[in-house]
Amino acid sequence: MPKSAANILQIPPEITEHALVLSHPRDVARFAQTCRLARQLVYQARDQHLWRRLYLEQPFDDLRNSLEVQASPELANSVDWMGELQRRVYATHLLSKPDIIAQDLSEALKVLITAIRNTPPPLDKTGESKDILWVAHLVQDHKVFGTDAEATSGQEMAMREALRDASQEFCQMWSYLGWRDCHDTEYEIETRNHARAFVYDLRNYSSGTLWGPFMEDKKLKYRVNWLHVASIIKVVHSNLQDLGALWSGTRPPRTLRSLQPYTAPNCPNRNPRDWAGVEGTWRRYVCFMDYRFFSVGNNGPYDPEFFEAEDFQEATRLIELKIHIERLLYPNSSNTAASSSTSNSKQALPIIFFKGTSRGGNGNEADVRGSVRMTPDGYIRWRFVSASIYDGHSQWSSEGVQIGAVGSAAGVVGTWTGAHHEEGDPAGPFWLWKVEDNHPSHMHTTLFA
Amino acid sequence: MSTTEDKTRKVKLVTSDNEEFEVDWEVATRSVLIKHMLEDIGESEEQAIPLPNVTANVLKKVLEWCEHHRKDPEPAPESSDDNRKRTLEIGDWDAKFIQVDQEMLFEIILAANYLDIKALLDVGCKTVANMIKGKQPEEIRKMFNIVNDFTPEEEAQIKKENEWAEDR
Repeated sequence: MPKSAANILQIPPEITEHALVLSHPRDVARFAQTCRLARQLVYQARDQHLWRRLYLEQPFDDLRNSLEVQASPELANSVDWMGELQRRVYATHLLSKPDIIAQDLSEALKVLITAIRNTPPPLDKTGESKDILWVAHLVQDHKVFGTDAEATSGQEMAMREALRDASQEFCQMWSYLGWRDCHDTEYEIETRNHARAFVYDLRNYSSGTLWGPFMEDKKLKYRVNWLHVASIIKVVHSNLQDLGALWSGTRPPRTLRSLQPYTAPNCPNRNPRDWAGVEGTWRRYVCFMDYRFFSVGNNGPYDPEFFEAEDFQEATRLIELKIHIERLLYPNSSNTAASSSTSNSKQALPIIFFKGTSRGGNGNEADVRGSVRMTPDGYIRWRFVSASIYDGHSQWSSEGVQIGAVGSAAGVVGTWTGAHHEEGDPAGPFWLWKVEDNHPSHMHTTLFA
Repeated sequence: MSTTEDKTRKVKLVTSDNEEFEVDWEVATRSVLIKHMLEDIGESEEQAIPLPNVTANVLKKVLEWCEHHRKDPEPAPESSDDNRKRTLEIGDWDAKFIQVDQEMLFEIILAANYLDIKALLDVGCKTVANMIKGKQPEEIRKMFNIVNDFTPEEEAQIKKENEWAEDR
């Protein structure tokens, strides 16, 4: 043996590390299992240098660009590169299994959902988050989750339907990404009617669901019900497709970047206290079912075939909103003076109370009052009441959830019901999203689909 | 130092086994180490640069690479590891160049590291990465002559530690 014989473990560790950084994370794990020295190099380093570099070699966003770290730069040193990379590798592996079980699919989707929720604000005017692109590719190609209905077998379809009802993660991912790929297939008609049966079922509106897309939770008190959110999106999106070219420039944005923080118009230059990007001009599509039909479903679930009936009617109405902040309420109202820059916990964000006006196509004008806050599970909840300007009597209350991150262009979806929640009040879905202040107005008629 | 002079200038290098190489300035300065040494010496003297960490057979190979890549654009000035943009594919010429036995491969990697030739270091390290790609631990041990020195307890811990990369 020549005296200079070199081996992967006899070269300086920083060079071995360099070779590992260029490897697939799975190969790094296999290497770590060869001997003590290898294991030490991979798992027992003093810092996360190797894991950070390895992470950044993958098609992911830099975790240090997240809103959380941007707000508290000292967190950059405690980013768990190793943990997050391992979770993502494992999730990818699970999704690649041909016989994935529902529990594993939910686990994998949880990782993907976390990635979308923590996506950083866009770096420029057109760029898309690498994390969201990564997630979109994974789920679009996936045979169970994938939305190309014709390409799936009967067994996969059955699983998909079971998941749709059972898995919050499945519904949440569908709410983020899945709805964009809907086509006019037999399957779509079925899911549309299935979604209608859910959103127009008055039993889904009670104090327990906060009269919106929420559900009770023992630990958190309440949390978002993503099956409800997905159903709202399905119904509103299908109705908007039925509108065809009408108001075609006025649609909730469907780009992937619309899920990123502060992508809504005027968000980058918002008032600093407006953490949710509330102030400005909004558009809102409100859907409702012909009032005569409500009683039919009142005492039990709708048969999806009910919506196929010749005389079934569902309407879609476009509404304009202009709102501004009235006041903020901090969780500990004694330190209202504390500036928002000192608070780094999501829970510490104040409740925003806003006021404004709402204008419908038939000339109805209403005063709007509402609030925006974080839910216990970290989503952004909107609630507001609109009262006619003519008699001041409260008419409708709305409850919604922001889709995507804070200030996302994707907007807020939710439900409206009678403001006093009286017996026999109707209910229906809406989609609210922010537009430029000079967005064209199309105020004229109510449209029956 | 003007560039016209640089182009014609020759540089003398001396290896650890006392062999002397005379190469074009443009070729030698693919090595950031040599480039900095030349700057320190200045152009007044025809001084040979000693490279005590490199043997002649390795330097010959490294200079072959530098000769082929003499016209490559300068690497971007020291950016952080994190942002360094790497092409993960090895080019055709480089792939052929790096088809050497394992010992020479690591010698080239060590020399590229010592001489500070980042692009060559990347070619070498990527080659190592390709060697372990898709292999089981036992296959990696065999390839690099690594001795498994884990105790049974450690084996159990390791299995757990690496669950994320395997079927659970």
